[in-house]
Amino acid sequence: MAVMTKQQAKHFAEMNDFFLDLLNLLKEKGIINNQEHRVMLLTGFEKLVLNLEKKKIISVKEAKDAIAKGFTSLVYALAK
Amino acid sequence: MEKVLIYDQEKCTGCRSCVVGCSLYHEGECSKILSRINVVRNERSGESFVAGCDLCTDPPCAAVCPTGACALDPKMGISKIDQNKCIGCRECLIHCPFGAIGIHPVNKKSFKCDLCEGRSEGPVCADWCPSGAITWVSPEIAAKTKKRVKLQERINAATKAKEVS
Amino acid sequence: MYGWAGQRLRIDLTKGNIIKEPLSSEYRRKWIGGRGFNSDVIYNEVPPDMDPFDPRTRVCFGMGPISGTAAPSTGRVTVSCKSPLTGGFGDSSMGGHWGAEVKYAGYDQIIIQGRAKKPVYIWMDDDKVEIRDASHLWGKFPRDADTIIKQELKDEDIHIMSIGPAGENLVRFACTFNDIWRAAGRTGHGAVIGSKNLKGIATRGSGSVKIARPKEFFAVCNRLRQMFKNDPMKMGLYEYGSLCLINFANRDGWLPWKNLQYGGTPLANNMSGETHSKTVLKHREGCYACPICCGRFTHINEGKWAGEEFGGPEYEHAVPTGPRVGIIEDANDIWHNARLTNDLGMDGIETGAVISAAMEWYQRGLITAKDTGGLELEWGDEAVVDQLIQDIAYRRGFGNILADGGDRASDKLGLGDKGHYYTITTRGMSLPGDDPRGLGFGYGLSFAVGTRGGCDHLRSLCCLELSGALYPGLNTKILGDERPAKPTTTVGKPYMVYYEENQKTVTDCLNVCCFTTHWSYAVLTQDQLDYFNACTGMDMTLEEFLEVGERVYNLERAYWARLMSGAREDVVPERFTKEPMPQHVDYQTNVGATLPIDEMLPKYYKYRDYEPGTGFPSERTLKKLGLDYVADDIRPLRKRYMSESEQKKKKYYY
Repeated sequence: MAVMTKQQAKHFAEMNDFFLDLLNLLKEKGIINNQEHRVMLLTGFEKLVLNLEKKKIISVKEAKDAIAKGFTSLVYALAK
Repeated sequence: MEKVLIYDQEKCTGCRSCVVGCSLYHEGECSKILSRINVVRNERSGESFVAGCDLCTDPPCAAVCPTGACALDPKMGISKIDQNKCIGCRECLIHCPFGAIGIHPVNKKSFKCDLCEGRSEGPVCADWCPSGAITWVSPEIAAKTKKRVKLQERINAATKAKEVS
Repeated sequence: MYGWAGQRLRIDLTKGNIIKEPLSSEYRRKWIGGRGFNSDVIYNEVPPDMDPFDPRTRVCFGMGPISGTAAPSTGRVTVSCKSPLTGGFGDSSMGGHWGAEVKYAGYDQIIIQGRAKKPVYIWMDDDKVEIRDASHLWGKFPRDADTIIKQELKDEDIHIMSIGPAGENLVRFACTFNDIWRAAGRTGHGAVIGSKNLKGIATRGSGSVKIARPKEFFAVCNRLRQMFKNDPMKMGLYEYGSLCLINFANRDGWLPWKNLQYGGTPLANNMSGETHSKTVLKHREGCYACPICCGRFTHINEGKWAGEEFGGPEYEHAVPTGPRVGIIEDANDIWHNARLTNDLGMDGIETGAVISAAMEWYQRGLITAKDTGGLELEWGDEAVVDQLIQDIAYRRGFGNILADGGDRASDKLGLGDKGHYYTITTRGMSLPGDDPRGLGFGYGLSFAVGTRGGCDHLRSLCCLELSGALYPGLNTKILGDERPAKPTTTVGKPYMVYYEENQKTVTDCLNVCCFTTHWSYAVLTQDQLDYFNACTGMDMTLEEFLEVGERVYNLERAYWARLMSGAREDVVPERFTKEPMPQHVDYQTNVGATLPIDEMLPKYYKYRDYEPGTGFPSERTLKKLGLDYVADDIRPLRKRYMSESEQKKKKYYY
């Protein structure tokens, strides 16, 4: 499921510090709500990935890759 | 031969990981007074000593027990205290050369180490000791290791003396 | 009651009252314990304009629900007060065994207020608490007070918290100890305790900490202790103590040399953990229930200090009165100086920092021997350092000026802004042995914003960048990116600092040792939650748990806001931004580095949801954290902070 454009994914990949911006985008798009935004900000990247996998926004494989390889893998998966 | 607990006092850091682990494992609470093993600390000199059961093969604690509550368990290689038979006379406590017997704060009877009978990994104290002050080994290996360490110390001292002269 | 004892002790030394106050379930859920309990009391009971030595001030000793249990490293105590050094919020943490003993005696926290008419100490014998005469203990080193009290109370197994002569003499950075050597070093609460005529607290605890789900708790504790057996940080810390860092610090350019003019020295190995262990290490020592046992006991064998011995030193303790003041050739001088600050009861970091600032003032001609009472403050002069440490503790001569801290000393000597340039402080407290141009930019960011003032490595303890290389994949798991594992990059650091600060705060609320969960990552936040829930039965979620960290942190930040300390004061010493790191050895990794703080600070504010203009916590976040009363407190202060008159003030301390 495409949550962002490839252009946006590239922008994230080049950011110095991406996490808050990514959570803000996901909230804006209605993928995560306020409470989830808060939880994941506090608890970190892995929680975000697992949340997106649970919602089937990304596949099991994409989630696994994201946890292993990091956020660039995630944002490109979100741009598909 | 069955494994025994060996205490290397020089390695004791006084951390009491053994004490708190023993208490939690046996009594489900964390304290010093519920532990079957104890640590004596001297903060001023930095020294610490662990007082645990030495697994005597002819235990004085069993020898002095008037009711037979304290008796050697030949299979485990350690004396055990049957709480039902213990009358709380404390003779075992007085006669243990290592201070390894305690008075239970609740039932006022003697209690001691039972090697965490049934725990596949062996006694918690040895398992958790961070410095190797308590180890759970066969006595033969313990003896061999000690001999090797002591021999190396003598060789080092002799070499040093030779270099100086 | 599981985990917690469920009550705190409030002792009023003016009235001689001893009150036991119950701690409700709501309170314990909101603040957890340790630093959380303390920060709440200090915020509510010590107003921003109160003089730190006012008898009405509080000093708090906080234990956590996990203190005294079998989780890894549960002996720690947080000591909190309004700092006489900074004038702002201050706290510090000490290891040892006293914290566990206080839990066994049946208390989660001790609050001291008022002032005794003459020196006293407190004897806590389980539920019997009494105030006893300490006239015969006043002036004694902690080691002697410890011996005398144990003899007097006829029990060698009790544990004692005490201050030294420096605390009695109100040296603004005097510290507190327990078990003689385990120091709560920073922010000067030793002086606050001394101002109350309190020498110490002796404790005997024969109770226990009850566990909600003992089998589950044992299983978690056991699993974590197995992990420590092969943990790389544990092995380094056990073998060589925190001095295991010396050679790394030297290589990566964060070891202070001559007041941080350089990031190291070619002779650093003289004081490394490896060298220490071969020359002066007498015993290894461990705090309560610790699987690491990084404690040292040092005995000097040769030279003019032969025969001296003491517990310690840590890296942070030895470096300031060592390389920071230019001493490295004879390591025994360094051990001796550390022994002195221990016996006298002063923060080793601040002592060395203020002497090294004075030495740089002297080097650059801002002061001369006329100002120092004839002392020639040449770098590396052990006779001078040895004398100054004692002069500071006893407030003699030039030492009396330094005893108030570097920034006040600079003002007293009339050195203006130039003097402050060399004090290497933020909000009045000094940087420890961690030059951010080498240690890491995450640390550097946290120095500007730390809530106990000071360039303080222990507010964030960004070990994701310090130890990250030892735990491949960990940065990715938490931050989503492995690049922040590199110390000298700004990538990912705003989030790293936000995360680490929250995590460190909740660690301090539990009062377990951060060496188990920063430094070493054998214990992660989820593991802490697992043992917390099994111990207390409170069954928090991970976000509720970390939210406590965020709550306490925001409360402390608001304490500073009430003192008119905010965005303008979120600065690091200019040395880090203006002076590229010079070279001291050819294998140094950070030559030329400066700290790009401006690239990270605005983003960090967004994570914290601080207002950009004031740097105060936002109304929105405070309300979310259940801190409505704090929002009410600081709402009227925003305008004042932004006023022209306030903007003109340059505040080095409060």
